Amino acid sequence: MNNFEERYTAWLDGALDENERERFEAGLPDCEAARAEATEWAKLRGLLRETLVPAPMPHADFLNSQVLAAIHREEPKTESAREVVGRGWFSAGRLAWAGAFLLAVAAALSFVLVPRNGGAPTESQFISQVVDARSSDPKLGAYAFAAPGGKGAVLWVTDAGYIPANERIK
Amino acid sequence: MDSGELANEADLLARSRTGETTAFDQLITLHRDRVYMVAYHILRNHEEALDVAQDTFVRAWRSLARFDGTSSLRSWLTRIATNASIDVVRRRQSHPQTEFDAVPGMAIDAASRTTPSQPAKPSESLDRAEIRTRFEQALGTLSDDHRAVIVLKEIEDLSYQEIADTVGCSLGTVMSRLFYARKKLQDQLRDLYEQL
Amino acid sequence: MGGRRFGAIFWVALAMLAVAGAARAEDNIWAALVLATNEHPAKAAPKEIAPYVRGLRPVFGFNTFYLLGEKTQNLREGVGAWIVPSKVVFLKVRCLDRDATSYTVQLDLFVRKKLVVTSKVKLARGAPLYIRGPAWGKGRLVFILEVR
Repeated sequence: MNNFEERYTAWLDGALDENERERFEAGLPDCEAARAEATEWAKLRGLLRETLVPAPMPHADFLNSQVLAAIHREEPKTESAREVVGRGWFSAGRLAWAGAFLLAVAAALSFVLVPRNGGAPTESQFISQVVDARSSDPKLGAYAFAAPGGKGAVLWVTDAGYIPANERIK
Repeated sequence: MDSGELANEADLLARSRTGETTAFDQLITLHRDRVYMVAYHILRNHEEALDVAQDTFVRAWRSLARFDGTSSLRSWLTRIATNASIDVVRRRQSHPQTEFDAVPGMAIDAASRTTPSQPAKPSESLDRAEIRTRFEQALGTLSDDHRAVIVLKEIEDLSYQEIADTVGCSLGTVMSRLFYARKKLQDQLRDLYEQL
Repeated sequence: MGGRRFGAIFWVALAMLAVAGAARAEDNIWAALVLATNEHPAKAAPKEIAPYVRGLRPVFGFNTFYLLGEKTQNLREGVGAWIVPSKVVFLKVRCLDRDATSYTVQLDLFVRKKLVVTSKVKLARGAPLYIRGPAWGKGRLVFILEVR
């Protein structure tokens, strides 16, 4: 420690060993006044730590969503392309041969057996349902009802807000 | 954190390292308030603090493999948040802003760096919100460098060396800044703790 | 020996196909952000949302619909998707569960970073969900979600 400010800081934080502390206090013009100030600082520090505890951050769930969206934008799209390392009987060559054969069979049979969907939704006898909906804002309400046609559903949010026409959405 | 919470955090961390974003989502929830608070106390700007908080967790995700557990996850995140906040401060210094977006209800006057705060009347009792406001205002009167070391030492309880490593200066500089920052806070808040 | 292995592979392939067929040809959730307004005369809706006009019109009371954005997402359980992410309006969709007839998803609607509503929904194939969003100018933002 090169100067008074550094030694004082260490002294205040109790970071000096006994010899260093005695030497420092001996060099103070008014040790009692310095000790009183140290006591004041301890009081203030206690109050600071007690007061400035983390308050819940605003828009907290939005932060999570934004972080995860950023992570997903960055990730390479290899999750569905994990390689299975063959063991035992399945050497690389046999695995490649077996894989090519399976692909050919699957392609041929799926063409015959699996129905093709176009862009339009296919009909189903099952309906969509809103199981629950809630808002933490007492001024907002959310309720659900069946959409015309009987299969779809509507989640009706009251007072979801207003965006001026000249404000960009994206 | 108690041992149960630490065990839960360790499990979430291990799962996050395998790429499980739902586990990382929970880690964000556990630490976001503190990360935001560190950023806010350094930056004194709500929007910038939110951006830094977001940036902190994205950086943490990218670096999970490099987190070796020698410090706590909280300390590690604090360091990332502090570095990100200091980057913002440095950008501000090279491109000074003319306006300062403060949290509504907490107007911070740039001139307050040299103007002493109004002492509270001795007869007034101070509630928690008032005390908090006084602290926030007093921290606002410090320079960015001084405020950063105070936040890291007094709120995050980092060692001098950890602070030096985080802000990128020498040990002696950290201790000198603490000296002057503490003196200024004591002057600003003397009436406050004298009432207690 | 070679013939036995060939046979084993063939039957494994058939079994895999049966499983894949049962697990469904479509594994995606399609979502769109639509602006619903009234215009005179009414304009035709883009082809992507034309099939939904018969649901949108009576529910929301508008006659013209514009497509602002759409996304098709393969939603495995636990993985989230974000529809038209922006700072103004933002829908997060996370798949919680699935069974033979539907997906159970959690929806979080954010407007100006504030979580407006959170909802759990069962989405069946061909049965769309319409979500009434905030007003925009003289119109209304509507989200459409559907399993395809």
